[in-house]
Amino acid sequence: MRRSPSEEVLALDQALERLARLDRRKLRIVELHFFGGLTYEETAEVVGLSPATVGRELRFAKAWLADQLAAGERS
Amino acid sequence: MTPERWERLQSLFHRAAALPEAERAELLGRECAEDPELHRQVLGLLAGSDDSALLAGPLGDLAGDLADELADGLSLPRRAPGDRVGPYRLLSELGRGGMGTVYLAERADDAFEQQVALKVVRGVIASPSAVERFLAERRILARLQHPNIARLLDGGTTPEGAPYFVMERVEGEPLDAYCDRRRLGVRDRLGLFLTVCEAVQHAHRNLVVHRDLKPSNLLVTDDGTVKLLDFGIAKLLDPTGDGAGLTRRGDLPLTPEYASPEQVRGEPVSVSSDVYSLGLLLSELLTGRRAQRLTSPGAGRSWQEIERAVCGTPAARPSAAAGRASDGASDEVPPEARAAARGTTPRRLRRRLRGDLDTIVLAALQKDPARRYRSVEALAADLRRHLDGLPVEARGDPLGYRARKFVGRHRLGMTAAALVVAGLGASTLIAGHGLQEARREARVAAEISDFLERVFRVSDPSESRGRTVTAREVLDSAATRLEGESSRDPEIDVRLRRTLGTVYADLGLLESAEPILRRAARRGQEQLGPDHEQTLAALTALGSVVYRRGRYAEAEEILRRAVERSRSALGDDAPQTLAAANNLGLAVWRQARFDEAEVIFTDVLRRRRRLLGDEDSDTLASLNNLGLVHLMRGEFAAAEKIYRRAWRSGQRVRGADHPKTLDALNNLAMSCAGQGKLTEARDRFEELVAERRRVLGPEHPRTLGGMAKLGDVLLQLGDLDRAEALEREVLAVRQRTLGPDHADTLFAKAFLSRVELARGDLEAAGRLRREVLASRRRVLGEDHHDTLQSLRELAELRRVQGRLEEAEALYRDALARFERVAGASGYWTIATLGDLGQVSLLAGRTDEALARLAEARERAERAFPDDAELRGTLRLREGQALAAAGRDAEAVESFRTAAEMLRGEDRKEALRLLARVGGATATP
Repeated sequence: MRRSPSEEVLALDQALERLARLDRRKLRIVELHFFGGLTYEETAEVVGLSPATVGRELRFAKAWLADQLAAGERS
Repeated sequence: MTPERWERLQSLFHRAAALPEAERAELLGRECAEDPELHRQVLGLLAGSDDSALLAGPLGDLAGDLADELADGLSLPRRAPGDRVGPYRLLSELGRGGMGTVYLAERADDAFEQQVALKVVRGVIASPSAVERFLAERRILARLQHPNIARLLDGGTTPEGAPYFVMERVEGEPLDAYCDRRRLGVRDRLGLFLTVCEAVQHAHRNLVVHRDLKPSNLLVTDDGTVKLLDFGIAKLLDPTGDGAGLTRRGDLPLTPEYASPEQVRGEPVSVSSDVYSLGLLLSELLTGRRAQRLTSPGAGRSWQEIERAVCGTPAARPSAAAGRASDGASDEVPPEARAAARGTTPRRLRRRLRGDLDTIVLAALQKDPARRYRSVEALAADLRRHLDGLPVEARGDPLGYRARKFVGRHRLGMTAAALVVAGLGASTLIAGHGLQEARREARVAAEISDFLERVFRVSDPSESRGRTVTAREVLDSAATRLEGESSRDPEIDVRLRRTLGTVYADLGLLESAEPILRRAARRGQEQLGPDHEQTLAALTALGSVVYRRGRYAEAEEILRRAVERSRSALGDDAPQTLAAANNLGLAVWRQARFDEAEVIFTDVLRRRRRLLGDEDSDTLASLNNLGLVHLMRGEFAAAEKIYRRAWRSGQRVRGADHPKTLDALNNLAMSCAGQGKLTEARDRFEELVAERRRVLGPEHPRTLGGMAKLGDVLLQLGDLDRAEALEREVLAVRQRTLGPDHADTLFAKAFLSRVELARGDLEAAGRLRREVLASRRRVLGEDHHDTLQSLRELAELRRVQGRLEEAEALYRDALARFERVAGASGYWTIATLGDLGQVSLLAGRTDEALARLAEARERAERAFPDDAELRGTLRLREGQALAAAGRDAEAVESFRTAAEMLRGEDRKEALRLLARVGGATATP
C-alpha cells in the first residue's frame, strides 16, 4: 500500500533508527552528507576517514536505506 | 543482525556492485548457496543502489522524488468560483505560481468581511515533497512578520489532503509600473528599492531566501507601501529546509529573466542569489531596461540558451543601458520614453547613473557569488552611502578578492560552521519527523534557525566593518548568544552546547571549549537527568577537553563518572561507554598509572574487537592506546609490534596520510628509537613530520610533537644543528599556544636542554632543567613519571658538571621513587640504578659501582631481554668499572658485548674503550 507523506517520512526515520543500531558510523556519514549537505571530502574530514571510504559507506547506506523503504512499501 | 553478518553483507554488496549485472548472479549463487536470506538481502541492496533516482540529492528529497514521479499527471478537479476551501469561498482565480494557484477568496461563514488571497497546490495530488514544500512555505511565512511582506493569515488542508494557506490580499501595482506612472526620479526609486532591501534582509535574517524577486512580486499599494509577495520557492537556509529539491534543473519554477547564474545552473542557492536578483531589479528600475535579456522569449527557450544568456553575458553598465536604443524586441521602449518616465532626459540619466550606481549594480551582478556583495545589507549600505554623497565601498575594495581570501584562510572555520549546521540538521530529522512530533519539530526548527541566524549575522561585513571576521569570532558570537537563551528544548540545548564546545576544541581553542562543555554537562544533568545519553556525551566531551588541557586527575574524575553512569544506563558495550572508558584510560595513563591504564585499554580493545572487528578505526585507536602503555613502561619491543600492526592496518583502512595512521607511525618510530634503532626511527619521524606539515599545518600540536621527537633522534645521531633548530621552533610555538607550564611545553624544554648539554652549554642546560623540574613538581606532583625523569635529567647534568654529590642525591631520590611506583624491575628503576653506578665510578668508588651496575644488568637481562640499548649501556658502564678495577679481560668482554648491542655514538664509545683497554692488555 502506498504510504501517505507523513508515513513516508516516518518510515525513513525508522530506517535511519535501524541503521543507527547496526552501524552508527554509517548513520553519521549519511547525516553529514545527505542531511548536512557536506561533500565527500568534507564528510571525510569530519569523521576522520578517507573520502573513498566515505563514498563506499554511502553507497552501501544508500542502497540499504532504499531497500528498507522499498521493503516497507511492499509489506 | 550480527556484526559479522553485517560485515559480510557489505562486502558481498560491494563485490557484486562492482560486477556487470550478468556476472552478479554467478557470484551470489556461489557465495550465498547455503544462505538464501543473505542472497535475498544482497539482491535487495543491489536493486536499491541501481535505482539512481533514490537519494540522488539530499536525503530530505527522498520521499519527494519517489512520489513526484507517480504524482505527475494525476490531477484533482480544478476549482471554480463558488467552491469552498476550508472555511473560505473562492471568488476568482488571481494567478498561478510555481506550485500553486492563487484565488481571491472570502470567509464563507461571514466571520469577517475580508477578502484574502488563498493558495492551493495546483492540480496535483499532494505529493510528499509538494506537501513538505508547502508546509515549509507556511512555516516561513508565519515567521516573517514585516510591514513590507504580505502576511500569512491562515492555513489548512482540503478534504483531498491538499494544503492551502491564506495570505493578506494586496491590491496594488507592480513596482516598476508604479514608478513609471508617477515618473519617479532616481532618488525616489532608490528609496523604494531600499525598502525592498529591508524586507529581503528581514527574510534573510529568518534564513529565508526569496529566489523569485521580480517586479510582479513587488506590489505597491495606493498609499505607497511596498509589499513582497510569493515566497512560493523560498528556501530555508537551514539544511533541513524542504526547498532543496527545487534546485533541480528543469524543475525550477523561477523566472529566468530574474534568476541568478547559480539558480540557472541548479547549484545551491544562498542570500547572494537574492543580491543578484536585486541587482537586476535595481538596474531595471534605474534604466527601464531589463538587465538580463533572453533572446527568444516564450516557451521555445532551451535551458542551454537560458544558461548562456544568464551565465555567459556580462551585465551592462546601467549608464550604458539607459541610452541604448531599442533592439527590436516588441516590449522595447525607446530611451527617450524611458528617461521621461524618470523625469529626465537620456543624457542626464546616463550622467546620473555613471560612477557609483554603475559600480554598485555591477558589484551586485557579478556572475560568481563570491564576488558579489556578501549580503543585502552591504548592497543597501552602499546605496545609502551613495545617497549621502559618501564614497561607496564596492569601488575601493575588490569584494571578490576579500571574500575568496576569507574562505581560503578560514577553511577550517567554514568546516566548523558546516559541522554545527550539520549536527543540528541531523538532530531535527532524528528528533522527530513523526506525525505526533510535527509541532515540536516546527518549534525546534524555528529555534535552531533563530539561533543560527543570529550566529551568522556577525559574518556579515556590515556588522564588522573594517575587520576580517574570523571563524573564532563567529564561534564566540555563537557562544555568547547561547548563554543568553534558556527557553530552548533542553535536549537541543545540551546538544547545541556540546557541538559548539567540540568545535572549539577541534579548532584547538580548549580554553573556550571548557566552560561551554561544563555548562552543557550541568544543564544536561539538571534538565535531562544524569543518565541521559546527551548528558553523558557532554560529560565525556568535557572530560576530554580537561584532559587535553593537561588536568589529568580532574579529567579522570569526570570520565570515571561518565563511564560508570554510561555503563549502568546504556550498557557495558555501548559506544558511548567505550568512548568514555577509552578517554578514562588515557587520563589514567597520563598520570603514569600504567598497569591500571593497561586494564582499561585491554578491556575496551577486547570489546571493540568483538563489536566492531579488528580493522575498525575505534578498534585501532584502542590498539594504539594499549601500545602507549608499553611505550611508557619502556617495553619498546612489545610496543613496536603493536604499532607496526596498527600502522599497516591504518594504511589499509584509513589511508596513509590519515591523522590516526600517522599517530601509529609516530609511535612506531618511538618504539624504534626506544630500542636504539635510530636510523629507522629518524626515517619514520621524517616521514611523519612531512605528512603532518602537509595535512595539519606547521603549527599543529601534532606536527610539533613529531618535530620534537625527530629532533631527539637527530640529537642521538649527533646532528646537533638540526636538532636545536627543531626544538627551539617547537618550544617557541608551544610556549605561545599552550603556556609555560603545559606538559608539552615542558617536554620541549627538557628536549632542548639535552641539545644544549650535547653542545656543551651546561649553563643553559642547567637553567632549562631546573625550570622544568620546578614546573613539574608544582603541576604534576613529586612522584609523577615526568617529574622523576626531570630529577634524572638534572642529576645527569650535575654528573657532567662534576658535581657528583648532588648527582648522587638526585639519582637516589629518583631511584627510591621509581622503585615505589614501578617496582625493582621497572625500566626506569633499572636505568636509574645504572646511572647511580656510573656516579659511583666517577667518584672513584669502584666496588660500589661494580655492585650497582651488576645488579642493574642482571635485572635488565631478566626483565628486558630484548632491550639492546638498556642492556648495552649497562654493559658499557660495567666494563668501565671493571677496567677501573683492573679487571681488563672482563672489561674487554663487556665492551665487546656492549658494542654489539649499541648503535650510533654509544657503539663508537664502546669500540673506542675496547681498543684502549684491549690494546693495553695486548701490550706486555
